[in-house]
Amino acid sequence: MTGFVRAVTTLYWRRIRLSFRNRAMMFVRLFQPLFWLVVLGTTFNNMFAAARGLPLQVDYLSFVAVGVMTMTVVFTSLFAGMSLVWDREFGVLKEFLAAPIPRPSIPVGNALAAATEGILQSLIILGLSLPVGARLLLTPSSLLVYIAVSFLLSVTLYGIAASVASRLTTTQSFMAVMNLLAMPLFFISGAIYPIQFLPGGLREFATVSPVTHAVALIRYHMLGPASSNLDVVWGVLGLTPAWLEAQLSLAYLAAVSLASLAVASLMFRGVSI
Amino acid sequence: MPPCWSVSRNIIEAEGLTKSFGKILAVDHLDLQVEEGVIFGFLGPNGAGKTTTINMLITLLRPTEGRATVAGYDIVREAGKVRERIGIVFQESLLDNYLTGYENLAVHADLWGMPRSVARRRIGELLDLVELRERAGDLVIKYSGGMRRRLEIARGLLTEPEILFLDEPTLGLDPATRRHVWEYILRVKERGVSIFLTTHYMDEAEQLCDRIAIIDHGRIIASGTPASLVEGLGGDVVEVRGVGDLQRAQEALRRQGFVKNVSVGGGALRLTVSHAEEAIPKIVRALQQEGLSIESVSLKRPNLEDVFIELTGRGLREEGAESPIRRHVIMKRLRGLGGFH
Repeated sequence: MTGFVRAVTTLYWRRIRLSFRNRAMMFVRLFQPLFWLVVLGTTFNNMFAAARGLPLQVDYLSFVAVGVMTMTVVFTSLFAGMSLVWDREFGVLKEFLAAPIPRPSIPVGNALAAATEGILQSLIILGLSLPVGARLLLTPSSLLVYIAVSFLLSVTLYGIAASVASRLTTTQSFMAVMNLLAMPLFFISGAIYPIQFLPGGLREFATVSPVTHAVALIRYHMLGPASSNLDVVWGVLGLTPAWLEAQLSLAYLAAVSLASLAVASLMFRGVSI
Repeated sequence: MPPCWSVSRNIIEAEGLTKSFGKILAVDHLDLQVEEGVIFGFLGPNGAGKTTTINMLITLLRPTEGRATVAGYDIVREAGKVRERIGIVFQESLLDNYLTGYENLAVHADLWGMPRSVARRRIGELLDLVELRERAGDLVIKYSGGMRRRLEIARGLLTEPEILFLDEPTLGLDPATRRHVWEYILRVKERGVSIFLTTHYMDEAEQLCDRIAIIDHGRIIASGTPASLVEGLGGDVVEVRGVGDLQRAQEALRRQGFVKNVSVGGGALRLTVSHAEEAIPKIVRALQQEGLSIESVSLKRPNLEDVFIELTGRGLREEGAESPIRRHVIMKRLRGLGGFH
């Protein structure tokens, strides 16, 4: 066990060091969510204000701010898996595979680093959304839930990315698969519009997507229960009190993240050179 | 069990070690004994099975058949113990370009579970050994090919291994740097570390190795000391330079009874004969009959390259030397490519 913890910490700090040495890339990654927030957020905000407004007792800008914060976590985590493909393509992974460490420490250490990065990026977006005009309820407890939810979501998606990375050897194929994943996760999640407007079928997909649950949970705590849309998310199972729905979503996210990490660990056990 | 009169034991022992990838038999029932404290050279052309053998010995690949022990531990059942006792320098350069030299070593020490204080001292020592202490704080991306290799040797030695595996340690390095790397390898041997080295450079094997095994098509075709292998050739090597159809001349010489072997390369014919003094006039006569105008005839000290040609009928480097994979590896080494992580 101590060997596992030590390997995880070593690989975690290695990845964090490498990422933070490449600050240019971190800024580039911030541009896209910022673009969504400022351009889409303000435009749709005006549009909804001119029409009847959102059916969720909240202005669109605040609504979409949470969506974009969550999307930042999604994109950062998915594309963080890229570094594993790099490690493999340029060989460093072989050094880790040959080390006397438990294999799962490789995806776990890197997942923690990806979560750190994703949460930091998302926090920056949160900070920038305030001057743009988002009105978020920021209390110690709402921030704590937001960070916990972002962490679980990040681990879930990094687990998927790492599993894919364990079987792909080129950055091109990895990028193609990630783009294939990122788009549906983004648009079918309630991040930029409430999922009740999705056509049937897609709506059902949205209710099982961990991204939907993460967005709804953060909205629950930062915009208020009435703006969370959790009743639609859990609507299929019939009505339950909002607080229970929130607990269920959190439990669901925790379960999915553990399962995802477990799959990634198993996939890494089978990685050969 | 080593025999009781023997002072040294075998650091590597393999019996019938075999690895197949689908239908391809990469390593074919290999038997190997490597004595402790020596530099053991594993020679062969590209694709002969050298790297596959190393990958099995360092527990990265599971053998299809057979067994082997490294430092006394079974490579399959006791892989963890083997890993703790070996150092590896891979064929490709495996360093984090955007970590400093020191950080690369520190990550390795941590993964191998070295106590921090011990690691700090060892890293300092090894940076001195490979003369990189002054550049230890620089990002590895700024290192030259030779510096990268030296850092990797230092990393391989960090955990005080009983044996160091070096897979093509000087591939893609310039001649001066190669010689420099050889010096470090000899220094490592002086510290009592056994070395298992693969190479397809004959001069490298002759310079460094105490014992040699030649592998081709996954099988060991000869082994011994470099000197005994060359002696085993039982003859002299004559090199003839000339203008004309060398291929046809080669065919003609092959038909001569006194010629043991003949190859063409670099505008010259290289012959193995038992008695050069008597053979040279006959060679000259045969070549003149073929219409070759001879420029020079020289008597060469036979080397391992000749042993290899004698055994396999082809040069060590002529096959696969320009394969895309090989070129890729060399380019990677040369450019120290790594990119962002």
